[in-house]
Amino acid sequence: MAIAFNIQTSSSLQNYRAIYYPAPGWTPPWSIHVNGPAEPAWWEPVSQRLDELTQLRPDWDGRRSPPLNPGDIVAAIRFLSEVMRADTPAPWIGPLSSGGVQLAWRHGDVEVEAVFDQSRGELELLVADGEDEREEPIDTAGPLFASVVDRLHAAELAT
Amino acid sequence: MSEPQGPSDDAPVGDEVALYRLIPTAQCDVVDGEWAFQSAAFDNTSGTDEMSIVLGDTLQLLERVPDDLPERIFGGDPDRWGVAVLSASAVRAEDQDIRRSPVAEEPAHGDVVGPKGSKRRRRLKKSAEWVVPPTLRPD
Repeated sequence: MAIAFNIQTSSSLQNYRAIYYPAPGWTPPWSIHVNGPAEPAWWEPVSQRLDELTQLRPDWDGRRSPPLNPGDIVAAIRFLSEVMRADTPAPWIGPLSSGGVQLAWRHGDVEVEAVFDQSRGELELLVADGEDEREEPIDTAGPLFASVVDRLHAAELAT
Repeated sequence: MSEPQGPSDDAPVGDEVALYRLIPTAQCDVVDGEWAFQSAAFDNTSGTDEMSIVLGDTLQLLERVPDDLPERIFGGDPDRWGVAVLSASAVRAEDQDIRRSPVAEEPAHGDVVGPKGSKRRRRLKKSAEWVVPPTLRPD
């Protein structure tokens, strides 16, 4: 089974194509491939981490958690492809107990979390800038991410 | 001499009680060479409204310490687990209930009960700290 879609960075003219080849029945591991003339720097650590996470087996946390939901991975990559600039640092990427995916960045007072959890209807971006916290549904979160993306440059991964 | 006993299942949990949450390295970032847990680590068990914890007052009565929790609960792979602590009062401030739910392998087991959306998970993370970081060395 394969899913294909286009990835476009918001800051470059280059298009990237990601193709998933999940094993039958969505059982991991499956591999992730991106075809493009020049991948953005963030793609390598992102794809490497996704490869690691897709190896997670059912009950990976000893609490009956399922493997990552491929639909949430696709949504996360699609979000990154839409909002990341070529030089935006890669986020931390981790699993939710539901099978969802979380992304996180932090630099100074700015903390950003993106949650992709279709099983619970959680698809949202949270941005904390000091005491100011804002949230937006993922579908319309581009401007909110753009409002802090400059301040994520040279960021360390989230804590 | 009899074995030490924990509190009864329906004994109230005081606000001062430490709640220990076991966290896998999969839900940790690495910052300055150290494991740093993320808000994803403070989620309910899949398909439930319960987050597993270990109750500090029961551990104390059983004359145990949180350091042994990864080995005791995840004996096959204990180095990939750390233990973070939350206070019962901080959890209740998030409109969560705390239940004692002892199981055979962990008589100090409990649950933090209630919905945990992304914002609440984030606040729970902010109120937590390591008491036993994972012993696995970060890459």
